[in-house]
Amino acid sequence: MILSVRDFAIGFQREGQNLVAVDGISFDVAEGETFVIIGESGSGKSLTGMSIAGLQPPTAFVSGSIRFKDREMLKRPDAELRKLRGPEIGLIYQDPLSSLNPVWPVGDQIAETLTAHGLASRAEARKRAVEMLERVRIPDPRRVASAYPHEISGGMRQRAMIAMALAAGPSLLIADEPTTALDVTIKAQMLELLAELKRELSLTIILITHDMGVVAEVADRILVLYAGRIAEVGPADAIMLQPSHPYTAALMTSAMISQTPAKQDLNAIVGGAPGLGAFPAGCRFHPRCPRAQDDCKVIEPPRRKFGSVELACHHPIEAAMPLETARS
Amino acid sequence: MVIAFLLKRLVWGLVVLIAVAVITFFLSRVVPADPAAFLAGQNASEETVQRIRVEHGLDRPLPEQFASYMIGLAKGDLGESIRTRRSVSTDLKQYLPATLELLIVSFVLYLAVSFSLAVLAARRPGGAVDGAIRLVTMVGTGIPVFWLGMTLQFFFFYKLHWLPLGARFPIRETAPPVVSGFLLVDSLLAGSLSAFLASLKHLTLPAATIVVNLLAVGTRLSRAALIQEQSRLYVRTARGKGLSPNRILFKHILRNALSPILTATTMQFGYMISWVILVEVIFDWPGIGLYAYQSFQVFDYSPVIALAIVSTAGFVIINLVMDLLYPVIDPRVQSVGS
Repeated sequence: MILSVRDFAIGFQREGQNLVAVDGISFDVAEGETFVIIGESGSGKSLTGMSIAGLQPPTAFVSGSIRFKDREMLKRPDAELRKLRGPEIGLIYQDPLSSLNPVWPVGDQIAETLTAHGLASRAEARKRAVEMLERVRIPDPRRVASAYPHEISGGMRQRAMIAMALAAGPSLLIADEPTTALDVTIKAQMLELLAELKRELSLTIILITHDMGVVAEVADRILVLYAGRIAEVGPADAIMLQPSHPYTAALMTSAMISQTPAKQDLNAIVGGAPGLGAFPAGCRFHPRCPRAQDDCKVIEPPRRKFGSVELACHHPIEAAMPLETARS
Repeated sequence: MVIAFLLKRLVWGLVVLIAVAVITFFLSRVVPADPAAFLAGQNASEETVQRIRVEHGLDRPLPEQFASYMIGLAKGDLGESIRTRRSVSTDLKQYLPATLELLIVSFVLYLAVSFSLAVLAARRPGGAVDGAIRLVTMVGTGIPVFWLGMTLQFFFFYKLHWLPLGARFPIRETAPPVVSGFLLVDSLLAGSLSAFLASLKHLTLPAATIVVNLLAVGTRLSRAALIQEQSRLYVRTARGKGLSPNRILFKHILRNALSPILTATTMQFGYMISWVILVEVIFDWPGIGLYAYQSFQVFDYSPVIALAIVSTAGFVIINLVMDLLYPVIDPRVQSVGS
C-alpha cells in the first residue's frame, strides 16, 4: 500500500462550534492504481485529497492517520512535508489559469519544482522543463516554455500543470478535478494523457472528481464520498456496473441523463447535498434516498462487505437493475 | 506603439505644465501685495519703489506681464528672482540637487520600511503584530508634520545630541567639491567617509519626518495587496510544489503584488513632494522648497511659479515611468498604448 488512511477526520471551528467536514474515513491506495474519490461539492473529497499532501487549511483540526509510504503525514511539520511535495507527491488542480503564476513564464515555473528542491541547476532545470512539456505531448515545447500562462490555451495550461507536478519525479499524483474547467474533447485527451503518463512513469494517481464520466475512463478503484462519510468503496467495475449503494446508483443515473440527448423521465437525485454542520442523523443520505426506511433515519449504517465492495447502507441494491433499465 | 504612447503622454504632460504655470501666475498676482515695496524696504521713497517696479516690469499691465512671462517660459527662461537677483534657473541649479537628494533618500526609505512592515503585518492579519503596526503607523501619520519634525529635533538634537538640528552639512566644515550636487555621492567621490557620514546625519531627521508621515497609507496599501495575493490559487500551487513560505512570498506573491503597490506609491510620491517643502523649512534644508518659501515671503513670484512647474514636472515624469514599468512587471499588461 502506498497510502493508508485510517479514521481520518477534518473539521473547522466556527463560532465556537466544531463543524466536522470529513468524519472518520478509512481507505487504502495500492501502488500503481488509479484511485478515484467521487462526491458532490461539500462531500469533503478535496479536503481529503489536500490533506494527503499536508495542504489542509491551517485553521482546520484533523485526527486519525494518513500514512504515505510508511510516513505519517498528519501533524508532520510543514518543513518536512515540503520535502515530499514535488519529489514524492505531485498535485494538479481544477483551474489551471489561476493555478499558474501569471507573471512567470510557464517553463520557469516547471523548472522551479526542480531548483527549489536542489534537484537540478538552473540551466539543467530549464532544459528538463522543456523535456517535461514534450512528455505531456505539447507540440512546441520550447515556445510554450517561454510563454506566459495567459498566452496558451486551457488544455495547454493543464498539460503544463501536469508537467510541473511531475517534473521532480513523484510516485503519487493527486489530481483535484483536473478536467472540470475543460471542454469535452480536451477532457478526453487529458484523461488519455494521464493514463499514458501513469504507465510510462509508473505513477499512482488519486483522482478527485464529481464527474462519473471521468470515472468510467480511468478508475481502477472508486471511493464514493457523501457528506464526509464513505458510501461505498471497491473495484471500479463492480461499482460502475452494479452500484449497490442507492447514492452511487443515483450518481450513475444522473451521469446517464446528462449523456442522453432526449432528457427522459429518469429518476435523478432529489434535493441537494447537506452543507457543513447540517448533516442529518442516521444515514446522511436518507432524506434524498428512494430506499430509505425508518432505521436509516436513526441508525448510522456501519461499513460492511457486500459482494466485491464495501459499503455503508442498510438497504443496498441487490441486483444491477437500474442501469439496465435506464439503457433500454 | 510605445513611441506613440510616449508622445501622447509627453504632450499631455506639457498641457498640464502650461496649465499649472497659468494658474500659479494668476494666483500669485491675486495676493494684494507689492513686491517692489517689500524689496525697497520700509523707509524707501516712492521714487525708489517706482524705479524697482519699472526695473522688474511690475508697472506694466497684467496681461502684458503674463505674455512676457509665458514667452520667456517657452524659451526655457523661468524669470528672475527679485530677492536673490539671479535668474531662477541658476537658483534652481543650486537648490534642486538638495531637494532631489532628500526626496530620493526618503522615497527609498519609505519603500523599504512600508514594505517590510506590510510583510510583517500580512503574515497574520488581525494578529498582535498587525495591530501594533497599524497603531504605530496611524499615530505617525496623525501627527502634523511640523510638530513631528520639531519633536524629532527636540529629542535627537536638544536632548540626546545625536543628530544635527538642520541644514545639509556642518557649517564649520568644508563640503566636498560639487560634482553631482548630491552630498552623499560627492563626499564618496571625494573619498571622504567623514563627510559622507556627516551628510547622512543631516539627512536622517528630515527623511525620517517625511517617511513617518506617509507610512500608514503605504503600509496599509501594501499589506492589503499582499493579503489579497496570498489567497490566490497560484500560491496553493507553489505550496504544492513544496516551496518554503519565504520563497513563495518573495518569488511569487511579491511580483504579483507589485502592480497595486506601485500605483499607490505613485500617488504617495505626489504627497511626498508637497511634504518636502514643509520639511525643508523645518530643517532649514537648502532645497527648492525652502527657496520657494523664502521667495514667497517677499512676494518674489518667479521662484514660486518655478517650484510649481518643477514639482508638477517631477510628478508627471514619475507617472510616466510607472506607466512604462507596468508591462515589465505584469506581462498581462500587453501594450501601454492600448
